[in-house]
Amino acid sequence: MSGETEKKVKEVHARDIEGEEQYSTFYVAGRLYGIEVTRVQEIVKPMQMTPIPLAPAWVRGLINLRGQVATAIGIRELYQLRDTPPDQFMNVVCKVGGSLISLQVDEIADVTHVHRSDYEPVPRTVAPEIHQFLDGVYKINNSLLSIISIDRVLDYLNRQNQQALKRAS
Amino acid sequence: MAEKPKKEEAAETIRVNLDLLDKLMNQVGELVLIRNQVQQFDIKSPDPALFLNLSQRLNTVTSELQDEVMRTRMQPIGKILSKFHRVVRDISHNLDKKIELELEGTETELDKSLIEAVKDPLTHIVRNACDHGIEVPAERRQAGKPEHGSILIKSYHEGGQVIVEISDNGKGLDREKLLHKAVNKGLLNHEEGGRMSDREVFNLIFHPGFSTAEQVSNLSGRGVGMDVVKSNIERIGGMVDLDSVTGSGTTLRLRIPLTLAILPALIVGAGDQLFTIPQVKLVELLRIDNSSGAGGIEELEGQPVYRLRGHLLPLVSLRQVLFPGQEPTPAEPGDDQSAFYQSVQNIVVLKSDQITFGLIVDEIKDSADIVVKSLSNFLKSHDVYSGATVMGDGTVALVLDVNGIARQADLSSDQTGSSYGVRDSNGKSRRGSTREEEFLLVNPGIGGHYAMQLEQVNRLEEFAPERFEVTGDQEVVRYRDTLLPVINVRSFLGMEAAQKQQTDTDRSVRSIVVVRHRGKLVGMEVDEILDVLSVTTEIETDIRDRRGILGNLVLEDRVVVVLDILEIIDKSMLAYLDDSDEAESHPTPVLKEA
Repeated sequence: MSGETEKKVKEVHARDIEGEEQYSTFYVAGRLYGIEVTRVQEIVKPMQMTPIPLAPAWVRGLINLRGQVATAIGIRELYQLRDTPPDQFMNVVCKVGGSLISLQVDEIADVTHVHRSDYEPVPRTVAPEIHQFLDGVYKINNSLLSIISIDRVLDYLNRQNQQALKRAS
Repeated sequence: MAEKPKKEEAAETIRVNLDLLDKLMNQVGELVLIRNQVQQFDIKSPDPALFLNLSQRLNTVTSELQDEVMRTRMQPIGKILSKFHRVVRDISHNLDKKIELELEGTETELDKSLIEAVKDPLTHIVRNACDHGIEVPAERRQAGKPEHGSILIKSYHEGGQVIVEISDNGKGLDREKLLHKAVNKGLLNHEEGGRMSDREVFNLIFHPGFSTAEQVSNLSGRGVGMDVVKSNIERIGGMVDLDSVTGSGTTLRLRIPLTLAILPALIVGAGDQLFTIPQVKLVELLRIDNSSGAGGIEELEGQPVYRLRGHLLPLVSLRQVLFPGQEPTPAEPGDDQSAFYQSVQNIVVLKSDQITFGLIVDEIKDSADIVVKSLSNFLKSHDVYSGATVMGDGTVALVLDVNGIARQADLSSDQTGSSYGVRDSNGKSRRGSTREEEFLLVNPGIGGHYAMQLEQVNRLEEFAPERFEVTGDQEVVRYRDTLLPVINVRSFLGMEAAQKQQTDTDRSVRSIVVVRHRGKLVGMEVDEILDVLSVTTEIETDIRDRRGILGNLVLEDRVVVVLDILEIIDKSMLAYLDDSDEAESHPTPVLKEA
């Protein structure tokens, strides 16, 4: 039962007012993105990282998160952005599919409350490389908040892994 | 609600001794006290003595805690062994055999996850022992054995591992039958089989698809068998060993690590990064100084190789495997004396499933017990790594998968395996119908090309001249706690005066080929050890003008004389060898007048 209660509590936190949702937001290359707050385990300051040789570019490396090993994924590389990245990255750590994933972002912003009515699907004009990771867009004051779906990110990573396995065999 | 039953199924429980739990609680209490002190630690005016004290206490508590927590996971192996009573009873009833199961050391403890992992292999082994180990009572009576066959499962601790021995007093393995089967399956040819030791032959049963049962029965003979047992045990870091005496029984020995979680490993560095290699895959460490010229890393078709005790060891640079394209490789043949081959190289000799190879690393650090964490699923395509671990300084290091490295470096393909792979202990890499034989090319100091059969060679040594002493007429060297008699090949062949190029004192070292013959080591002195040659040509035995010559190898560009080193030894020192009570299968040469 405890698992269910927990889930309910989380749900209440996420939608404490009808139609309102909370997103943990951050910047990558000057653009504002958000991940559903309940999916984020923690935000961690820049950490020492161990690169994984031979891994795809978006796998930045492994970080030691209090004895647990998390895999750092570079959003920039996933989006195939070609600008100069900053020296250090903040880590947005999420637990998905049994493993710890740390999305590396440029800068952390607030936890933002948005209203369902401000939601729009992602316009078709957005590049497909980016489009595939997004769940939608919220129109908020002075800017747009794109919602990253951590599940879609994981799907993509698993798909890429499958393809790599196929190529190998 | 739909999820609920699933959850209950997954929830496993374990019984833990209350004393143990109390101890754990005490230690956690201690840990909390230390944490409080650390929190109060004054960084502005640090007291080194206090800090040292704290870190020492933390060390003690952590390692005790680690031990105790590990112990909570330990379960007596008797938990699964006792179930075999029933298995054996059922099978013996079905097969009309009389079998007794004895258990010894049931209280031996093993990590819970390992107990689960060895359960299936053990069941298979026990069924095997019942089905084709133990004979039917009539057969046993005939062989003069008691009607009741017995299977003994004995488990005990040895050297940080748990050993489980399963022995039966049945009919044992049949060498001829196994060989026949292996030849039928095309695993080897008759000659190769004849040369294999009993142990090597018996180990054939671990080959995939190998079954000696003539008929497929309920229990065995389905071809899925011992190879699965072996791979299952090896997956958890264990080993399987087999011993059998035809007619009187078979013993299987499983070596299982105490726990899965903590693994002894070697830490190596490559390209500014640290990696760990599980110790179980490690054979030896080599440090090769290439600057001295001879005895260093050589190149074969652009690939680095090293002569390790007469066998060519293929080498792989970890840096090149993991960071391809980052290191300048010797591109042209003339350029092979690049910095890569000149400096001192650290080589970790590793044994993968298919092949033994040397891994060149930038540095060899230390060995340590590591806690292996698995990598995220989406990194599974990178089979070069089997996981990651957190090092003492808090950084993360990748755990290398030895089989994966071999695959990544294209070592495991058949072609590479047979052309210059080091033969594994079973000699399995020699496959196919054309028999390749390896020869050691030597220069005995007389004109012409001479060679020895490499399989007769035990070791290659170089000794300083001052290490040679004389007893009677015989030159000897003190070697591995015994005296190694040295025969000079040149003088034996009776060409002493003909073309003696150098006197012995000229050289700084004397090259000795060490041969084991009739259980004794004998040194054969030559002027130079040149190369290892692998040929498929047969030895021509037509021209043999003197003793000690086996025949000639006719190669494209030259004729190589093959020395019969065993005859040379026999002729030179019959007296020395005669007092050896161990007569091996070599035919004793008939003494002929010259």
